[in-house]
Amino acid sequence: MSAFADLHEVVNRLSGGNSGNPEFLNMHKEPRVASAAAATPIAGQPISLWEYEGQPSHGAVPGTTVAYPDNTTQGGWKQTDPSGGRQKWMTAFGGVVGTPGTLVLYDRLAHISGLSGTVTTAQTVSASAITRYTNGSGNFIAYEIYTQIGATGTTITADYTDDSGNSGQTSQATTIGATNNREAQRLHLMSLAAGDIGVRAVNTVTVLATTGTAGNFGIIIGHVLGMLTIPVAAAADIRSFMDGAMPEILTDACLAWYFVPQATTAVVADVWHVSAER
Amino acid sequence: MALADFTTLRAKQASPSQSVDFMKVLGTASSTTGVICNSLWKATGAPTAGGTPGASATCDKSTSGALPMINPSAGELRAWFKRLASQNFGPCGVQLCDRLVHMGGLDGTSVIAQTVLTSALTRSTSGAGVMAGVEFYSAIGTTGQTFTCSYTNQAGTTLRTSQPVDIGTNQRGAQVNRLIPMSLQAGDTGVRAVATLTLSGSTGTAGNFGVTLYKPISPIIPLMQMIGGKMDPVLDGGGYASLIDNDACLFFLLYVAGPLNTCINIGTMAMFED
Repeated sequence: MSAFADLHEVVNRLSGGNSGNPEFLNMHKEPRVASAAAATPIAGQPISLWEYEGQPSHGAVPGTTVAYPDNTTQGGWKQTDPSGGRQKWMTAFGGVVGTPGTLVLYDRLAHISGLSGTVTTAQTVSASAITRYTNGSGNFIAYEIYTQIGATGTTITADYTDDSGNSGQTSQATTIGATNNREAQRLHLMSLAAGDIGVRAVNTVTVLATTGTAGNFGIIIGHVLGMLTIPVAAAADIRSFMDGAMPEILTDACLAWYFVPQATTAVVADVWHVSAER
Repeated sequence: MALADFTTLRAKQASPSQSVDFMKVLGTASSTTGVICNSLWKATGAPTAGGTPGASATCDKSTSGALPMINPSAGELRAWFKRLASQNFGPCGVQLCDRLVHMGGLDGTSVIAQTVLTSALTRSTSGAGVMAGVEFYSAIGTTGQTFTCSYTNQAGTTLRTSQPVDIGTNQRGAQVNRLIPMSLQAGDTGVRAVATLTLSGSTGTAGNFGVTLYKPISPIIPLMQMIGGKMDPVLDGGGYASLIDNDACLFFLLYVAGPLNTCINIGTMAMFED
């Protein structure tokens, strides 16, 4: 199947015609993690909202063995899978945040925690079995901090398989550790090797030098579906895909958010999306 | 019954079965950071300000304060913001919600488990997509605490415990009309009922607040001050016109940051049957 043939079909299926099974979902995020205040945002430093509490409920710190989140995973939006051989398409999404920045909606494909900020040998990730976007194109790697690591700045690289299936690729060195890159809930995209446009698997990551504190960080593989821009606090935004490329919400997609703040104000967010099957 | 196509939608929008003008005035001058959700339930204007609830009660279209609506004669009722403008001093977002159940009389100084015992839902009875939040009817204190609730989730499991959420501090309760959503226990996606609410400590002032169960039914509409907005189902809403349950008690949430100086939200909610 493919996306909607025309506007007539969009309207029909979004109102329940032809087994469109429209779904309108909301999500609220509070700046609290593990029953305590979330780490203070820092302008320009992405924050993962995975552990942020709210409704639906928050995500858990991933286990120390790689897992592949789906639409039943706690922390995701938990949308209904399409049925009857149909695909699910997001036709619009939007939201509002109490502080300016950019909200990024992504499909969380793989995650792991338990990595150490003091180990300087290759740390095993073994994320080799993503079940969505398996050709790797457009997938990103990021590290995500669950417990603060050390104050000594260093870099991290990943050994991964790229979108062409080439294993043993090494990402470009990415800053990790020290102020702004050590706090809990920080999420930092890792730059791929020159020429690569995606990731199929992550084998290991290596921290160049100790950050001074083991903490707990992890690796995620994700695929971006869309972004919202919040230019000032409470300036709501909408992305309607009536102008073209509607993102498909793949079966089992684990929809999650990260936020790039422009200020240090705690992040309170309310978001929604609408979808239908075709 | 589904809309046949875009042409049908446009025809229904051209001749809506119901068209309701509203103006809600919310004015409390204070500063706030981060917390942005306000309920317009008790905002003055048209429709009239809703009442302060006492014991738990279900809400429906006959509840004073609800945006007027008439149940469809057949099929389903859908709505969109035909016109919308805000005279708030800054940007904001407006969202249409169905107010399912509300109660009041909770005390901002009590540290025991306060009885909430929300009435059984008469709409969205599964609890899926139903949110619970604390809503303030008179100011509580400014000593920062947290609140948790014992509730029944979307699967009917009782005695769930919500995650602690800030209250009292940062204008979360010292300002009437704030609405703070509850954070669910791990694994949950909705609420069927709330049994009790417990504060971690006294906020310093009893005030009056309560628990409201509500369901967001429209997207959050972006508005800039003194610049009109709307929410066309196709152009802005991805082809989706908000579905209104029979007997819905329609009210608005306002998302805004910064000082509130007589924020006026004015517009027209149009509805049609499909």
